[in-house]
Amino acid sequence: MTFFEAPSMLWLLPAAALPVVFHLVSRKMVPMVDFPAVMLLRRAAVIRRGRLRLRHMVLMLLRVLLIAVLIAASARPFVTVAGTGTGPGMPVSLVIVLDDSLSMRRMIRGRRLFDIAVAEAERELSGLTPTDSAALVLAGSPSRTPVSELSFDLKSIRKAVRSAEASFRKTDLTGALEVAGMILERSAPSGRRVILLSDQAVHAWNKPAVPWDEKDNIELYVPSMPLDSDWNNHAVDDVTVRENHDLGPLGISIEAGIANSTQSGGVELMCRLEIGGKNVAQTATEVPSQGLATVVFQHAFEKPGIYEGAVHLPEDSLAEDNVMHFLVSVGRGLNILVINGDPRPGSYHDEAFYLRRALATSRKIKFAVVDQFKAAQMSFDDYDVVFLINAGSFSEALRQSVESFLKRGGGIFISTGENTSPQDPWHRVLPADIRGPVESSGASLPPGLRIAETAGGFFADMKQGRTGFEEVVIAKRFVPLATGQGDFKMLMSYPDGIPALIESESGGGRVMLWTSTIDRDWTDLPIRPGFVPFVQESASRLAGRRALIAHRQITARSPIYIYYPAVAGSLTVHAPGGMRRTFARSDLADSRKINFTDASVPGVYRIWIERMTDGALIELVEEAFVARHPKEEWDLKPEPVAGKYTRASSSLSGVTAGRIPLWPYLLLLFVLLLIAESFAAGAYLYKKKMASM
Amino acid sequence: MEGILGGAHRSSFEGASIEFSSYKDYSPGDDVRYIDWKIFGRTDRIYLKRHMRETSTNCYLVLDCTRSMSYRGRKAVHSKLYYSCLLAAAIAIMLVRQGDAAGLLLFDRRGNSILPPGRRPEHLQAILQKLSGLETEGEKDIETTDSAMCRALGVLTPTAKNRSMIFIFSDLLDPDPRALSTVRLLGVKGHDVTVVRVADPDEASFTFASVCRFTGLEGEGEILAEPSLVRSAYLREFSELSRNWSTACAESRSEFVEINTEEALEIALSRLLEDRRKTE
Repeated sequence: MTFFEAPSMLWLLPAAALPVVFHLVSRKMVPMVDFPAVMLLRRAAVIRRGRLRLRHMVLMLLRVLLIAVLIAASARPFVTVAGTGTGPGMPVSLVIVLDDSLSMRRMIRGRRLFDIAVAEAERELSGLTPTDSAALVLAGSPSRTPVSELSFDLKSIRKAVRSAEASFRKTDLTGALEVAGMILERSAPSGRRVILLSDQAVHAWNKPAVPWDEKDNIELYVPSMPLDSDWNNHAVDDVTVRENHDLGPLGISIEAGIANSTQSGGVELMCRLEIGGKNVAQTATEVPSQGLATVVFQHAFEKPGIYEGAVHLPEDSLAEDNVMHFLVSVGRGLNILVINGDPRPGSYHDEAFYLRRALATSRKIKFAVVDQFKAAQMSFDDYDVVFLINAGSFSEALRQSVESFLKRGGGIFISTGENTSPQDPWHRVLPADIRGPVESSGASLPPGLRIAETAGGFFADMKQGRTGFEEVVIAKRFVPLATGQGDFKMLMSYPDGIPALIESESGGGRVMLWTSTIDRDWTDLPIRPGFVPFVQESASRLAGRRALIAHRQITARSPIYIYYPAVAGSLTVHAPGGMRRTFARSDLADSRKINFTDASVPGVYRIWIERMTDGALIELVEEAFVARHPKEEWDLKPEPVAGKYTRASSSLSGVTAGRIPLWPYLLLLFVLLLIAESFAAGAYLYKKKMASM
Repeated sequence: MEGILGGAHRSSFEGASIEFSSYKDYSPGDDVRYIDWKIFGRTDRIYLKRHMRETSTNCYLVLDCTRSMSYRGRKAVHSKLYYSCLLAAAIAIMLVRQGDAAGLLLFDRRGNSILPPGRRPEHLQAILQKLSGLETEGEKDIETTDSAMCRALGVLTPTAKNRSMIFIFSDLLDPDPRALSTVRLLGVKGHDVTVVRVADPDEASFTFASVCRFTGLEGEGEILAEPSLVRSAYLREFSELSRNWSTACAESRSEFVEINTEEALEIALSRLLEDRRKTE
């Protein structure tokens, strides 16, 4: 069969019609001359016309052929001999492993390395015969299979190869080869072949590099990529932001890890800090060869807020890892109102004693502690969260304030105590009906708190840390729920499964119920290490601000949960580069979170959530997260796969051995046609010259 | 020539004139006034001295006014028709001044226009006026099955009763072969016919350089030709046409003269009259 190495050149074939077009156009452009003796001329022309027309036709045909042959030769046609390399007539089962990781985005002599790999893959596909089958695996982690089964539809595979794009993923060649091996398991043992198109950077391999052995009978072909001899690359490896109070309440320190892949020696790099789209600082740093250096910037903001920043390096062949974005929340705090149902003059006897200490450790939290009577006269508008601790029977005014606060989307944390009574009318805002306090000894309550599997968010993260929750002793009492189930979500439980901390939606807001006291009257939770984060994260969660989420960092392409309140109208994610994705209210499920998987490009993703009540927009909440390029990709030092599996070649000689290029013959034909055309045109001109003499 | 009035032209009839023609043996009844007594004195034989009778003549100037005659090539000063008009006018003036009668027959594909021969200056004025206001036929696509020339000469055949002098000025591009026969008939009838083929230098030499689309002037259509390639064949055809006419004229004792409009008018006229003198 005949194929073309550069089939796009065939689009020029219509240009072969140019002589015909020129002939027709020139016929139209011939001048008109009045001449009386046309009758005589016609008799004379009749004699000549036949020969003249024939000569013209021959000349035109030769010229058409000349152009057509030249174009066909430029498309570099070749003939393949079926089954070359595996024995005559043997079909080939080929899996193309195309590395689409970040490191393949680098520029090599003006061309993207990934584009070179795609061209190579297309070339190899064009060398297959209709009896051969192929599949495609993309080697960016995790491995994906645009063509997951061996297919004879080579056209579709070619299309899949063309539509592949270089991503920001890290490389996983071992995983991709494993997938390729699995695909080939279903093929005939002979003719199994894998073509690996990758830069084979050092970070790409796991151990063992090639996950199959000799009995699998898979031949691995690794065409060499046109890589530069020195893999010059530097990258921003990591950025960490910390508060720096030496610079004032709004000061921060930014530590940037700078990596240098160059092997020939260290380099001095100019690092630039950009905040809010403006350059605010730059410094030079010496980065050792194949090593890392740390650059520390310091910056003080003028006013609180969430700021977007980035650390930049000078451009190199892989431009995408020369910048790393970050988000920083400065001076942005929560306003909390603590309604103390049992204020005491002695400080450690006060119900709010431990809560005050826990809230005061955060600079981002402002709080006020009032009793029930004062609270009844206050407006809750300026507060994000209200802590109701050991509250007794409410006045009607306070009950209305609480319900109105919830309706506007506020969050309420309720802790129980001696004053708590199931008969209080305000208890209808609780996640579940409660009974009166029971003695923990009577309930045979063993020590320890457990975080529920469904808790998610911060509570899920606390499972990993040293919180001391497992040792919490409910020393005296607790408030059991009237029913074990209800329209609530359990966040923490006692060891035997009795709910300890539950959460539910109420009005437009959120309510948490802690079934014990927030001081040490009934439990020793306040003296456990996890108490402070427990209080602070509960407050953040109730406020819906989710300050930690705003600072979440993911690796590009990783999924991320985006949380939204029950009253969300719509949710829009603004990605870097202007891409925008909107989730309508109907798309937002009751789970109050969506799994966002489109963070494919590094940068800052801003999320706008409409909060609505009774169909009216009451607030727009802005959140954000940062997607970063994978750290591992900066080191471009190649580590080619070696061993018995490899038949490395510069042009896949093993596969292309059966190719017979046709274009030299076409060039020869072109020369012959050129000579023939010259003869024909020369004879024509000679005749013309002789006739005019 | 045959005419009612005596004139400057030698007639085929013998008569009173100073121009000697031949001797004839006396026969009873011959006019004794013509006996050459000097010959009788020398030879004792009676001969009658015969003289050519000089007569006046009718001359028809026949002009082809078809569209092809309006052609004026790149080198020519005048169109073929204008050139022919000048020649005809000159001949008409000469004829009338020497007492001959000159008539004018104009033809094109729309029809003929004839001025019978006349000797008076007013008649000459009318001829000149007619010639000066001459135009070629307007429409290119007039369809007629008759040959214009054939039709015109057909009109002339009964009209010219005496033996007349007829000058036909035409480019002879009329494709009808009957035109040749009609001219031959006029010659056979004793008319002194002179066919003057008026040609433009472009027609005679066909010196076009580049490929052209040649369009006929009388609705012959158009033809795309490369002049350098068809020139020789064309010139052969052009000569062939002249040769045909020349042969036909020779057979009917008529004259055939080729005139190129590039030629100076006086030279062409003198050549025309020179040929006439040879014939007489």
